[in-house]
Amino acid sequence: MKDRHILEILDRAVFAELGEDDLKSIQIHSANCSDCRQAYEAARVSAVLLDVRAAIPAVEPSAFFRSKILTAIREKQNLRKPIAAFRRWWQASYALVCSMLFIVVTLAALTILAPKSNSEQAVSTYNLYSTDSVILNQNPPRNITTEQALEVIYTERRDAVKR
Amino acid sequence: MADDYQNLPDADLARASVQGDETAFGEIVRRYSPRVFSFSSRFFRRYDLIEEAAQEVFLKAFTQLKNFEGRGSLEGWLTRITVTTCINILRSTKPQNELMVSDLTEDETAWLDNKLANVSSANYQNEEDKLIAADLVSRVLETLPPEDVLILQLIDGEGLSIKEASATTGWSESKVKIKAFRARRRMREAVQKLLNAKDGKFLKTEKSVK
Repeated sequence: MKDRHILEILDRAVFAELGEDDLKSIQIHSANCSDCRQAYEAARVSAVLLDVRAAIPAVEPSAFFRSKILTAIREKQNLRKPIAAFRRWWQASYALVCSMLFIVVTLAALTILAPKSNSEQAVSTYNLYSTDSVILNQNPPRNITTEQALEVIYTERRDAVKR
Repeated sequence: MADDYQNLPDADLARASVQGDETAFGEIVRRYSPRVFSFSSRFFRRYDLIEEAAQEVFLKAFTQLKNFEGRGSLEGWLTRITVTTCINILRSTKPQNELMVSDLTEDETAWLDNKLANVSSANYQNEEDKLIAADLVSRVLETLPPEDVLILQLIDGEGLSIKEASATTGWSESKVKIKAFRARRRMREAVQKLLNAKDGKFLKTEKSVK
């Protein structure tokens, strides 16, 4: 029997499924052929190694694998479609953004429209009326309160001291 | 909400995923990630590589899901993507050089010495022995082409028929037969080189053939 035939038998089928006739042919030939004997041994070892490999328990995915995949998909989509990504971001956060905008606009409106404080009013009054006019009741300011009058007098005195 | 998806058939999940429903695709990942991991672990030893391959499989699946027309099973479709992805990853990496005896650890050399005298898978009761053999076979397989690794493990390792291997890989039955034949030859030659390099030790086992 030729070597080629023995090697072909070894490679043709799964080692464990070699028939009795095949094994007998191999053994008869191997008795006088060291090359084929070595090939037979190697085939046996290969078969055992593959059996061992098949018996290794399967690797399980981690608990976070699914969320990793979904995150990776989102990132990939964001890179490809920036407008769609903006739309998704807007859908997720428009309530927060709107409420922040509302707060900012409200604060701005209140700042502009709120009545001035006493001291601010006093300063503007001071610009219109002098202390003398207030004290001597000359050309008396209309609608000026006592507190505003005192503020005018105090401010003018303070400015005089500074000078 | 997620519980509702658990009861949906694959086709409905696929349809919803194509519409952009992430929860539906999340359910597909939950359902089939063990299978994809198991398949990827036939190609890679390290967990991070297995996970990387599985991640690539699901990203590809998400973008190509519109091409899944429901003619076959979703599991089969994902398995074929896994096969292609793992083979492509292995092809893109630098091929391993031939494994030499000097590359083997002491344990692996001892394993070869020991098992040559009495080679039988029935002898594998010892966990340590299994781990050494598993490491050795992984190193031998790394020197083979990726397609060989796959077909050897499917047919010779796990006992799939030619038809089943054909369905799993998407290759024709004749291609599977040819690949299996060539893969066995390459594996045998790789192991034989290791054994021959051990010279006298290998000759001791001649009696086991008789």
